[in-house]
Amino acid sequence: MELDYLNDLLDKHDLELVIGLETHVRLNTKTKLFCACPNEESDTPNTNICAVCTGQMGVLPAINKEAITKAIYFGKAVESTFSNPVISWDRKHYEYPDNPKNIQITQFHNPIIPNGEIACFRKDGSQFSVSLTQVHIEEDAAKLMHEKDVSLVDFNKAGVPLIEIVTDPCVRNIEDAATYAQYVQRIVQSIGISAANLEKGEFKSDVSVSLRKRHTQALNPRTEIKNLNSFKFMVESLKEEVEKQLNYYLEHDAFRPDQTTVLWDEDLKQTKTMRKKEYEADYRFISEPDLPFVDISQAVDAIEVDVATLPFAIESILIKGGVVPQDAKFFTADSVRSKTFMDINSILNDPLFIARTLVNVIPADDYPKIADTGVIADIFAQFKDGKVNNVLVQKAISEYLADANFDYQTYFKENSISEDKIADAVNTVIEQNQAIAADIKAGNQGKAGILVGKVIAIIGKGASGKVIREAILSAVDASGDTNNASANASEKARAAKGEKQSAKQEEEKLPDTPLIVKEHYRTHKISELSEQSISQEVTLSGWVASVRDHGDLMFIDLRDSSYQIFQVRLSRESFPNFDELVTLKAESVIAATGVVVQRREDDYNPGLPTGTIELKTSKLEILNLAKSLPFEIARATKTSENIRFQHKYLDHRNKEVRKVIVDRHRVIKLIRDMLDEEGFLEMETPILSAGTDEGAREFIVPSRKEAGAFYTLPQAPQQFKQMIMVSGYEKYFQVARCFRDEDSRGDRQPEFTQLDIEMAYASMQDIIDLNTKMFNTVVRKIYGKKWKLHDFAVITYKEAMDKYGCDRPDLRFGLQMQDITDIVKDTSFQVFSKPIEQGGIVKCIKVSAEEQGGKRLSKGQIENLTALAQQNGLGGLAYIFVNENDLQSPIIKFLGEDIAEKIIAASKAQVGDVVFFSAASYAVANKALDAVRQELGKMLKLIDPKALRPAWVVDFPMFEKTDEGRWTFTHNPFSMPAIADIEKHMNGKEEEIGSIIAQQYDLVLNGYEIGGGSVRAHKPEILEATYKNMGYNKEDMLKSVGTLYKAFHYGAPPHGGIAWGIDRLMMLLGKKNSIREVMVFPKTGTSEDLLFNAPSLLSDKKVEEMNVKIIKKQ
Amino acid sequence: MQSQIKYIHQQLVDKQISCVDLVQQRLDRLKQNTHGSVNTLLEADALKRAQAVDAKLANGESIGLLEGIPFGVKDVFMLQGTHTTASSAFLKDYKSAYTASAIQKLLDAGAIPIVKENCDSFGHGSSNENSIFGAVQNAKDSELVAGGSSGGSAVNVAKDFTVFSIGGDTGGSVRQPAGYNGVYGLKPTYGRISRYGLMAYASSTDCVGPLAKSVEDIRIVLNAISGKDVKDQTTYKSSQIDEGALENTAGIKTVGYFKNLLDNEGMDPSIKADFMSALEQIKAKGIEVKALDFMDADTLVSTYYILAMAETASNLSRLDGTNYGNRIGAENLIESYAVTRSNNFSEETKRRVVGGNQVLSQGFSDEIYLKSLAIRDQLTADFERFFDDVDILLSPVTPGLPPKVGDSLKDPLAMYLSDAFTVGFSLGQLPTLTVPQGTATGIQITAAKTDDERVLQFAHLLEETL
Repeated sequence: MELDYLNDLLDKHDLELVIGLETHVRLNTKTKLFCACPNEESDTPNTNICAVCTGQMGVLPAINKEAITKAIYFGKAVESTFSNPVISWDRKHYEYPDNPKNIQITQFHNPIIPNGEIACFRKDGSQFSVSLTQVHIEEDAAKLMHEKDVSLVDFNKAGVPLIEIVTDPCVRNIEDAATYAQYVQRIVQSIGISAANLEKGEFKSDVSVSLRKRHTQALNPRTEIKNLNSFKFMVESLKEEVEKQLNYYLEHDAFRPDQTTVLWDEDLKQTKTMRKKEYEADYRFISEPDLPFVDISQAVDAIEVDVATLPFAIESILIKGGVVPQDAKFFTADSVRSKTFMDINSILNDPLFIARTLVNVIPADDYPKIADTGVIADIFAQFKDGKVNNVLVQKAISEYLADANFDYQTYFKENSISEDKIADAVNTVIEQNQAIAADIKAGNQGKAGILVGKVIAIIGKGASGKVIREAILSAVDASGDTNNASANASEKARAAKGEKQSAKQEEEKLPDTPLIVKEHYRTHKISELSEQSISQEVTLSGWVASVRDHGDLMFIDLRDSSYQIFQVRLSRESFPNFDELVTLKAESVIAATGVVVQRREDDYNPGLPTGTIELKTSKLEILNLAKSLPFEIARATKTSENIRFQHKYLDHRNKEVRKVIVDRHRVIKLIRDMLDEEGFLEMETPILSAGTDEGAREFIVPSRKEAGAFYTLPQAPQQFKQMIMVSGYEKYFQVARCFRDEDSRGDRQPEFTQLDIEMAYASMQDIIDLNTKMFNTVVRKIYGKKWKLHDFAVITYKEAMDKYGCDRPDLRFGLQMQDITDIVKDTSFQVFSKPIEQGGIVKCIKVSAEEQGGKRLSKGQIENLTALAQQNGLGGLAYIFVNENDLQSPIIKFLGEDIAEKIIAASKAQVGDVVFFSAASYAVANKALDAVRQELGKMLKLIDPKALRPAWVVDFPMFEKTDEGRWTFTHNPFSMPAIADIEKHMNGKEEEIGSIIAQQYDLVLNGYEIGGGSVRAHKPEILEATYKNMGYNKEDMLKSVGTLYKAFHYGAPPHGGIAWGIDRLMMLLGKKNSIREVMVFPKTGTSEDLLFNAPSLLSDKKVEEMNVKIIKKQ
Repeated sequence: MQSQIKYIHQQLVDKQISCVDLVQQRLDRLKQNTHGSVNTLLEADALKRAQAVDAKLANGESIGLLEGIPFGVKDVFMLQGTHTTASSAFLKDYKSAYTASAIQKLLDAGAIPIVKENCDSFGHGSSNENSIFGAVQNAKDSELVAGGSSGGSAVNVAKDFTVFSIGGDTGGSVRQPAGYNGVYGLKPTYGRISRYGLMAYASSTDCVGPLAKSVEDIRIVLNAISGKDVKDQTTYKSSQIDEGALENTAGIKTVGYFKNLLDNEGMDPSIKADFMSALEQIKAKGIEVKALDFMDADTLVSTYYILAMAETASNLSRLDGTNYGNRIGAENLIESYAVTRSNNFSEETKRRVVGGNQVLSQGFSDEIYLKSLAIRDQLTADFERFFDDVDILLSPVTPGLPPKVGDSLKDPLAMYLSDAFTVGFSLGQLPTLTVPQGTATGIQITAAKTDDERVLQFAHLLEETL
C-alpha cells in the first residue's frame, strides 16, 4: 500500500497513529562506559576487552566522566531542565549471551536528562516537535555472530556508552518518525557526541506504533519494531505494521488486542515477528550498588550548547530564506557544511543565494578543505554583485580548495571582463539584432536570452550571464524613446484586459517557443543507453518527468516511450536562457543533445538502469510545452476517474496504466500467433448488422436511406461465425468488438472485446484442449512467475452448483457446501420446515478450526456474514460451533439437539469447527451461500492472491425455466445436446426437457467466467427442436434464426466454438479492479466517453436526415 | 598476643629462618588439611616468591615488614592464574584472569599468598559447610563448625597455618568465624578497602577483612590494603593508622550496648553472662557503659537477608555457563541456562537466588525490597544517633556457641538468626572488629563510620583489660 493511500485510509476512518521512539546513540567517548578499554571499532573480535566488560567474577564498574559530559551536551541541545541534579544507576536484568553480566547497567529512576524537546521540519517545510520522556545513559551489549552450529560473542562493543532517547508517544505520522530520528542523528553529529553512523550500528531505533480514534486518549496495544538502523526502513516497516493494524481494525471494527514485537533484521532488511501477546518483561530493576550517586549540577552549569548552531535553527534560516526544505537538510546533514553556510550567511545574509552557490561550486565532500570561510564569503560577495561570473567563481574555489594560498583576488582581476567591454558588446549585438531588441522592448523579455548568447559569443565566458541580461534589458529600454511610452501604455491596457480575462477563465497561457520541426528527433531511445555509451554524443527526445533546480545547475529527468528515466544535466553557463528552462513544466516535450557522461558516484541512482550516467547537455530544444497538469502523472491511478478519463492521454503516461496496455497488446499478439500456427484464419465480420430478438439489448443505427429501418451493432458475431463454418473455412477467429446496450451496472462497458473462435469437425474435447493450451501459454509467456498457475480443473455444472452454489466457482479455497435437506427435513422449526415444504433446500458450509486461523470467528464476523446472507435473500444464517464438550448455537433449542448432532456428523465437523447453514429455494440458497462463501474466503484470508485456478465447467443443462415458467436456453439456442440426450431433445417431452445436457463449456477463472462456448447444432432439425422445446413455432424460429436454418440445409459441417472476454481476462491477469483499467479508451460506469463527450446531442438536421424524431424527456 | 608479623619479620631479617623454610613449613602443615580449610595450595608460586625474598636478604637488601610473610586468601578473591572457585561446583575449574586490588597491594608489599581457603560457597553460609570441598572443622574442637563464611581463613590463622588471612565479610563472614575460632577478625568501614576482585555476594555490604592473631597484625594488614581504588568507586581515601595511635585511648569515654538484643530468647545464657561481666570490667576502667535500644533481631535479620539475597541474585545472574564456568549444554539456550544453574549452584545458593529474584520481581519489589531499603536508611540514622551518645558499641559476636558439624544445615532459618549481632553493622557499613575475648565466641567492637582507628584503639585497651 502506498503511504499516501494509507494515510488517506486512516483519515477516512478517523484514526490517528500513536508512535513513540526509543533511539540508541553510541557516544564517541575515548573509553567504554565502565572500564578503560578503548571505545573503538575493530575488525578482530575481542581485542578491546577486559575483565570488566566481559563480566568476569569480582569486577566492578567505574563511571566514565566523558560519557556523562557528552550526555549533558545532548540534554542542553534538547533544552532539558535537568531536574535530576543527582543521577543514579540501576541494573536491568535480562539473560542473553550478548549481555555478559546478564545485567545491563542503565538509568531507570533518575535519568540524566528527564525531559526535552526536538523541533523538526517536514519535507514540505511545515514543522512539528517531539517531546522527550527521558534520555538516559546505558551500556551497549556485545555482538553475537551466529555460525552454523555455534554462536560466537565479540565483546568489542560490550560496555560502550549509549544514550537512549525516549520520546513521548506523540508522533502522529509515519514520515514524522523518520524525520525526527534524522534530527536526532544530526543533533548528535552536530554537537560532536557521536558519529551516529547507521551502518556501524551507532544509531538504532525501536519504534512503537498503535492506532486510535482521533480525539481519544487511549493507548491501544502496540507493535514494537526493534533494531531499526535505517530511516527508509523505519518508514517501510512502520507502513507495513500500521497496515496490519488497520486491516485488523477494518475487519473487526476493533483495535488489535495483541501487543506484538517485530525485529528488524539488519541483514535481511525485513521485519520478523518475535512474539505476540508479550507481557512486559520483568527486568527486576535494582539500584546499582557498585556505583556512587553523582551530582551533575556543576557540570550542567558549566556546559553550554548554542542552539542556534543546531540543525533546526539553521534550517529555519535556510527555509525562511527560500531554500526548499530538502536542500536545507543537505547543509544540516553535516556539521562542517552547516557551519560553512552559517559563517558565510553571517556576512552576506542571503541564504538562498549562498545555498545555491555552495551546492554548485563546492562538492559535498570538500567542505572540510575550506581553510577560511571568510575567503568563500568574499568570493560569493563578488559573485553576488556580478563582479565575477560563475565560471570564474567555480575555478577560483576549486583552486582555493586545492591550495589555501591561492590568490583569488589577482585571478579575478586578470580574468574578468570589464563593464565597458560588456556594454560595448551589448550595444553591438543590439544594433545587429534590431528586430529581437524590438521584441524585447515590446515586453517579450524571454528573447533576451538569445541576445545574451550572442554577447557571450563576442566576449567569451568570463562575464556573468545575469549581468549581461540586465545590461541588455536596460540598453533596450534606454534606446526606446517616445514609442516606448505609448507601447507601455498599450501594454498596460492589455495587461488590465488580460487580468479581467484571467479572472473569468483563469486559462493558463503558455509562453511562445520557437517552432521546431525536424527530420530527426533522436539518435537513441533511453533504453539503448548504458555505461558503454559514455562520451558518445546523443540526442534524446521525450517528456520532462521532473526538473530539479540547483541554482547554476539544473537536472531534468527525461522520459521516453521506453518508459525509462534519463538524467539530463544543464548548467547556467552553457544556457543563456537558463532561468526560463528552470520553469519548464513536467510533461513538456524536449529534445536534448549532449554527451553521455558518468555521474559522480554519490549521485548514482540505483533505482534507474541508467542511474550511473547522465547527459551533459549542450543543446536543449523545446518541442512542445505542457501546461500545469490536471494531476500528477505518478499519482494518476489515485486520481478521480472522471479527471483521468477527461485527460486519458495523460493517464496513459503513467507507468502502471501503460503497463496494462502493453500487456494487452502482448497477450493478443501471442493469441494471434498461436491461432495462426494452428491454421486459423482471422476474419472480420460486419459491425452494421441485423438485429435479433434474444439476449441483451442492442445498439441500433438508423438507416438514412430506408426510413424506419435500422442496423444493429453485434452483441457477438455468433451467426456470422457459424456462417463462416458453413462457408467451408473450417477454422476461424477474430478479435471482435461487441456491443451491448445494457443498463450501466458495475463493471460493464457498452463495447468490449471478445476473442471469437469457431472450428469445424471438432469435438468438445478438441476445443477444450486447444483453449487450455492457449490459456496456459498466455499466462506462462506473458506473466511468467507473477502467477502460480494451477492445472485446469474440470467440474460439472451440477457439482459446481452443489459445492459452490454458482457456475463460476472460485477454486482458490475450499469451504464447499453440502446439501443437508434430508437431515433437517423432519424438524418442526418453521424457519427450516417451511422452505423445505415449498421445495427448497438446506445447505451448509463448514469452516474448520484451521480455516478460522486457529481462533474462533468473532461475533462481529458472524454478524457481517448474516447481513450478507440477508442481502442475498436468506432469512438468516444459522450456525453451530463444535465445542470440546457441547454444540453451541443460538437456535439449537428450536432445531433440536438430535438434528444438530446429525448436521455435525454429516459435515464431519471437528472440535473448533463451525457449520453455517440456511434454508431457501434452490436458487436463493445457492446465490446467498455463494456470497457467504466468498466473503469467508476473503475474511479468513484463504485466498492465495498469486494463484490462478482455471477450470472448465461442463455438462450445463440445455434449458432452464424462466420466471414465467417457460423453458429457455441457458447459453444460446445454437448448442448441441449431449449425444446421450439427443433423443430426449428431439422428443421434447416436457418432463424431460429440464434434464437435457448441452455440449456447452465455460472457462472459469478465480470466480469469474472468462469464456464460454458450445458444440453447435449443425443439423436444421436439431435447431428446430430447440425452438420447439422452448415453445416457439417454426415461424418464430425462422424469424429469429431463419438465415442460419436455411444455410444448414446446404451441407453445414459439424462445428463448435468459444468466445473469451478479453477485457475481463486482462483485468484478472493484470490484477486490476475493473475492466475500465484495461481498455485504452474506456467509458465510465454510466457509459460515457468523457474525452470526446459521447454520447452527445446531434444537430436537428443530422437527426432528421436519419428519419429519427427525438422524444424530449421531461 | 604479640604481633606475629613483626616476630617473623625479625626472624627473617636476623636470618633465624629462611623465607623458603618458613613458607615450606606452613605449606607442609596446610598440606595435611586437618581441618578441611584448604581449597588450593599455591606451593610453586609461593616458594618462588620466598626464594626471591631470600635472595634479597642474601644480597643484604632490606625487606619490608610484610615481605616474605605467608598469608591465606579466602577462595573468593581473584589471584591471577590461580583457581578461584568460591567453593562452588560452578567455578571449580575457573582461574582468575586478574588479581584483586587488595591482594595486589599485599603482593606489592612482598607478602606471599600460600593457600586459597575454604569458605561457604559464594559466601552463602554461617558455618562453612556449604562447600564442594566439604565442611571446615573448628580449630578448637573438630566436632564443631568453623563458622562462616570465611571459616577456612579463621581456622588457618588460629592453627598458625597462615600468619594472617584475607577474608570477606558481608554479614559477619569474617567476624563470626573469628569469634568461633578465637582470632581477631575485622570488618572495616565499607569502602575502606577496594572490593575489586572480590567475588560479589551483596555489593552494598561486602567488605574485605583481615583475620590475624593480634590487634597489631590487623593494623599492619589493614594499613597495607586500605585506600581509594579507581576500580572501585565506592572506596574512599583513608589515612594510615599509626602503631602509637593504638595506645591513645583517652577519647573513649562511653561505651554502649544493645540491651534488647541480649534479652532475646535465642541468647545463650553463658554468652550473655560473660558479656555482662566484661562490661563490668570495662566500667571498672572508668568508662561509662550505656544500655541502648536497637531494632529487634527479626527485623535486622530479615532486612539484611532481603537485601543480601536481592543483591546476590543480581550479582550471580552472570553465572549462566555461557561466558565461563561449568556449562551444561541442553537443547536450547534457556534450557542450558536452567540446567547449568540448577546443577551447579548449591541448595543454599539457590535458596538465596530464588529469594532474591522474588523480592525484586514486579509486584514484590515495592512491598519488600524497597521497604527493606527504607528500614536500612532508618538503621543508618539510628547508628548516627547512637554515636552522638557513645564512642564505641560493644556486642557479642554470636547469640550462641558454635554448633556441631551437620546441625546447622538442618535449619537454615536458625542459621540466619544466628547472624543477629553481625548483620546490623554490615547494613550500617560500620567498622567492626571481633576480639577473641569476653565471651566464648568473642566480642565485637564497633565505632562510627570511617573511625576504624578507634575500633583498634579499644581492642588494644581490651587486650589489656580482659
